[in-house]
Amino acid sequence: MKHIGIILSQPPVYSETFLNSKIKNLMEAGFKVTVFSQSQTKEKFYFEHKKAYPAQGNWSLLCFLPILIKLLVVRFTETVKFYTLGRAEGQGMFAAIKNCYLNAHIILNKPDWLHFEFATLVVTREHLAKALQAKLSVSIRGYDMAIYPLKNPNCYQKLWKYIDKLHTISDNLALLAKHNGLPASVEVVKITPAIYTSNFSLKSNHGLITNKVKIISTGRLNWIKGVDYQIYAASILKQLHIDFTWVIIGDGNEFERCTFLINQHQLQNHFILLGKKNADEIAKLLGESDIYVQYSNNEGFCNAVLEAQSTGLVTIVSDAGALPENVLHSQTGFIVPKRNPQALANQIVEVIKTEPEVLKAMTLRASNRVSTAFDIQSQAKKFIEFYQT
Amino acid sequence: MDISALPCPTFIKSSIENIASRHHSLHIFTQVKGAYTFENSSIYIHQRPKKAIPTFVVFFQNIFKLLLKSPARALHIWKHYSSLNFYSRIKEFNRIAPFYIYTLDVIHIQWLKSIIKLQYILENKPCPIIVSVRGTQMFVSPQADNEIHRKYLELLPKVHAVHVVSEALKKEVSLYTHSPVYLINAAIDIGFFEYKKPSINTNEILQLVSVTRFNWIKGLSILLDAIYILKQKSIRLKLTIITSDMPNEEFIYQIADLDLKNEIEIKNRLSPKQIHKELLKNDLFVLPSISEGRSNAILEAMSSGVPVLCSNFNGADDLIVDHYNGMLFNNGDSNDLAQKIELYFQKSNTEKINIAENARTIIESSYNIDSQTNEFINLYNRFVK
Repeated sequence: MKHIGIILSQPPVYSETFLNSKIKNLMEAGFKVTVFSQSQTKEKFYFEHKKAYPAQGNWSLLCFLPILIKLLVVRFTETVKFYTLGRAEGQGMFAAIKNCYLNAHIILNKPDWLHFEFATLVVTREHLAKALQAKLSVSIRGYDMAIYPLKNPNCYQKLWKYIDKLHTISDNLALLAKHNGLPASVEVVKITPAIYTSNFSLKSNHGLITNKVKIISTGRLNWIKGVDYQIYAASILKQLHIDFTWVIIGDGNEFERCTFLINQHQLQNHFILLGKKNADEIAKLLGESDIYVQYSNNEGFCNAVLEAQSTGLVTIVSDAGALPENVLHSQTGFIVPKRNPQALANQIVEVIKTEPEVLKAMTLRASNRVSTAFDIQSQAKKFIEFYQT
Repeated sequence: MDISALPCPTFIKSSIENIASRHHSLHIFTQVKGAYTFENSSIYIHQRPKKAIPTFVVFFQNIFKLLLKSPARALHIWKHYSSLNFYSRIKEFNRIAPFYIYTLDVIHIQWLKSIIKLQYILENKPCPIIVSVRGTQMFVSPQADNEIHRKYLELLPKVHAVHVVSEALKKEVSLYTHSPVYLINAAIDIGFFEYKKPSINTNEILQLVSVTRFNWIKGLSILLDAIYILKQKSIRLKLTIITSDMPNEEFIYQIADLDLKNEIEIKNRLSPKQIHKELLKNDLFVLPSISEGRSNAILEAMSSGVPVLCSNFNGADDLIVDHYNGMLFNNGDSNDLAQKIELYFQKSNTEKINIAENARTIIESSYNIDSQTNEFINLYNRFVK
């Protein structure tokens, strides 16, 4: 039985359907799955969870030496190899020893395959899989490829040297990985995100735009989600005397920025920050809305856009990141240039003016495409193949 | 004078030095980041340390001095903070006690939000209290945080007077208090930011400059979008950003996303002299702020003879008369900003020089440090018994 070690910063919570369905399906297919994380949670999971030994505070000082001794007794060869490879990669003596301690929970369990769910999690331990004689694979996300390397140039050079297989959720991210130095020799497998379409079933009045237009968006209140551009677009709609409400689901570190802009443009009766909602509440809110907008500055793929299309909302997205792969322009939704509130407002106005039959056909097409191309079962099969070959 | 931390912004520092130079003694109550001194010997800094051991040392000094002067007050302050844990109680004591240890004629709180932590002195006034109201803490914070809004409503009426730097702020303050509000303009040293007639750019590359911070309120993302729009139109330009902090993730990403690496240059931590020199190298100063109280950077550019293009945030038209002593664009609108940059460069040389000269005139008449100092001293004198 192949033992797959999945490395995350936190074990997946209930709402993270993407990771949960992946882990469950791998387990059902007969793989042994262990999730390794930094979290010190005592929560019990349906999968095996191994947490890292304390990295800070008094406990780390107490554990450091005993764990190193345990590593040398139980996994002498792997520990020495991890240390030696670390030194060869330019790590200082203490940094290499500390790295052994920080990864002791993985070394002691010695999986056959290490899969890092985010590329940034691999940095400084790219050689871990080699030391364990395990396979190394990595999933890349928007932040990993579009932002982190800008602040840390050449951060993935060592990863590319050791990686066996790369999982991308979009062609756009694969392209960015190449831009960040991924050699052509590394196998890249695209497995797009998927949703439980039954949770987001097509509403009866799909494609219908009500008199008071109900626009909805989801995403953290963070610059990457382009909320400020959405507020500027809402201000243009208001000037055009369009009767609308625009709700944003999600919280984040830029609440002050969003609230200020909403007040500055006197949009308090139009633009509403709803905060964080659970999956059921999101499904209900989507069912009550007409238009879904995802006007991000960058997106790895965006599950929320799939959920909106599945529900039958007219979907408008920016042309950033992988959104043009998620929505097909004029077929399953609309794509507008990013960072251009006027273009976004124009597109919303255009949608309001469009014949209902056209929107009905479009939303049906979008929902069908999500059901066939982004369903969770076919995704599960692809992940099983990913680890079998 | 309460200023939350030292080193403080240049405009507060200049104000302190100028007031002290008129034979007034100033006690500054603040948290000091590192060693910090003023040259003038009548400026006294009373620091609140951050670390535990110095905090205890200062506490023993404060309690000793206050017990000698007013034991009842010392006890009252100590009791007032009884709900806090011991260490927090000591820290609050260190914040409040100095206002009663020294005999003060007027207390001037430099940052509005500080009134929340200084509630005790507002309710047990050792002397008249004036608070300065500047941009973000009035325009942004209470809108985003209901608790701050509630506290302003409760505490602003308890101050004797409010100092504001623009008419827009004066209007906003009136929503919170009926206390007298005094408008004293921000000011700069016009002798230092000497006027130089704008040189006419014979270079094909338009030179823009902005003095700013990497914070969303400063609207840099709008400026970058505008530069991208102009670049798409094959207009060659270069933006120099003068700043005292490091670029944030949003800025770094936007530069890469819009491929503006060759159009943007960042100059970090320049001295005032270097800033003046840098301003003079450029054709147009751009201030894309979403909100501002009163930007000293724009005053410095106007004083130096660099024409300015500024967003029409609430209060901008106190200073800028569009196309007369500067130019305005629609706040948050990158298309309009791009159009106005183009429009400026289409102006005749005479028009550009007129704008620069009119700007210098208004700075000389209304925004110079000497008249500001007089106005502050007059304001303090109103309340000195």
